[in-house]
Amino acid sequence: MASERTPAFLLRRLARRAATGDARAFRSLYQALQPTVHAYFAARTSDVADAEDFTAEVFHRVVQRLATYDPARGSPRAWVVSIARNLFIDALRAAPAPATPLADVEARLADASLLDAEDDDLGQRLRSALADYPPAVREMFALRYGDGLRVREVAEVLGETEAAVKQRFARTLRELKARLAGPPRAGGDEEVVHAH
Amino acid sequence: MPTSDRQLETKLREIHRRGEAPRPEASDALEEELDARFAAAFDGTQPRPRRPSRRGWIIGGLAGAALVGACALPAEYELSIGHRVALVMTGESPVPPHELARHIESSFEVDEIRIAVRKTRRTTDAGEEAATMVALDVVGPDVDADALETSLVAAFPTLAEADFEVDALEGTVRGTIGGMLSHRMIDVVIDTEGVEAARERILADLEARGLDGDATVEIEDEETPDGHRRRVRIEVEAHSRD
Repeated sequence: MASERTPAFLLRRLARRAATGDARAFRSLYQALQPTVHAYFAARTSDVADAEDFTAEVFHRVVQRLATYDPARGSPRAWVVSIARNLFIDALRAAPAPATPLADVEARLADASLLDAEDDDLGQRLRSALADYPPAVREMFALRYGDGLRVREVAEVLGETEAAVKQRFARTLRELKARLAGPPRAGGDEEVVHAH
Repeated sequence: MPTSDRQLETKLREIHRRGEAPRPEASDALEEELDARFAAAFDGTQPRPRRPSRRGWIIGGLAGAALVGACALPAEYELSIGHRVALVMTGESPVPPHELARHIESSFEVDEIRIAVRKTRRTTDAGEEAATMVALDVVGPDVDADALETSLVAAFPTLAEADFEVDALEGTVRGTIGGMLSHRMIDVVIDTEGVEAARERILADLEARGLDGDATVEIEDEETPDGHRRRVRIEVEAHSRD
């Protein structure tokens, strides 16, 4: 997947040119980032029409904010995914009463891109293990492995430092690996082995 | 059930849904709508004129017993061929550098790894201290930079305290770029598809990187006392769209 992506330096170049009014550059930027934005919503809404509506709104905001976007502050991909994430949070909170509690919003962000389908033993155990982590960690994994963002981009979207996100990824992967190396526990109620 | 880093990362990608692709008609309609919105938003703003910054150069041939090509590319030509992972640690490296290389080799599809170890000193809040820098040049265009660091720290927890710096191997290794082009594309394409196909591949590669340009490919074959020698001369002329 990474090899199919438009390189970050090229996205920055397109964003800089688009910000000066270059329509051709903007079109290229849209074509490069639209699949990422659509996939973000498609994974979280399970409805193509909703995903298309959300995607359109994201790019409307991109047009509005492009002139003030500074590529030096983050990658264009992280920027548009941040817009997408904020839009999705707003939509969840604006859902008809009763209002969606914050915990539910966090859970939606964290889990919506996890597959429900039956998979092999390793996949089931991995999903079970991930479920024991806080929503913030699960969302980090969803952005990395579902949306295909780089670690640096995940940090930018979540508003955290790259070092902190790297460390959390490394620690969690180490814990997951250790947990998967052990025998499966009966009933699937495995004890959480991590500490945060 | 032992799980390798690669298996774990692959499975993590599998269990995360990516969602259905957008309908082409919807994407096209949105693109048209955005064109109009963009034009309205930037009404009266003229795009900055394209700077005809001419970046020319090129190349020379190289010799070899069999098939060797060489080209020099401008520093601005950001062709990613891999990554340099630099780790700086206080004192000695807690993990022998060759074990780091071995782990990367077994976990990723790499073409080549080069290791450099340097004793150095660094200044911290506690004062100046002896340190070791291990630089790993990992050549392989499909290696994920983030996965490299994550995998190393997961495999060797003592590296968690090290300062990591991961940079793309791009213009900094011109010789290797030439070698990679020769090895990965030019040699194969010339032999199987011909010179014109190689030229078109180069132009497509430039286009994908935001450059307009032209390229010529010349080949000279000759017999030498050392055997058959082929000299490939590639001349690329590109104009940035910036």
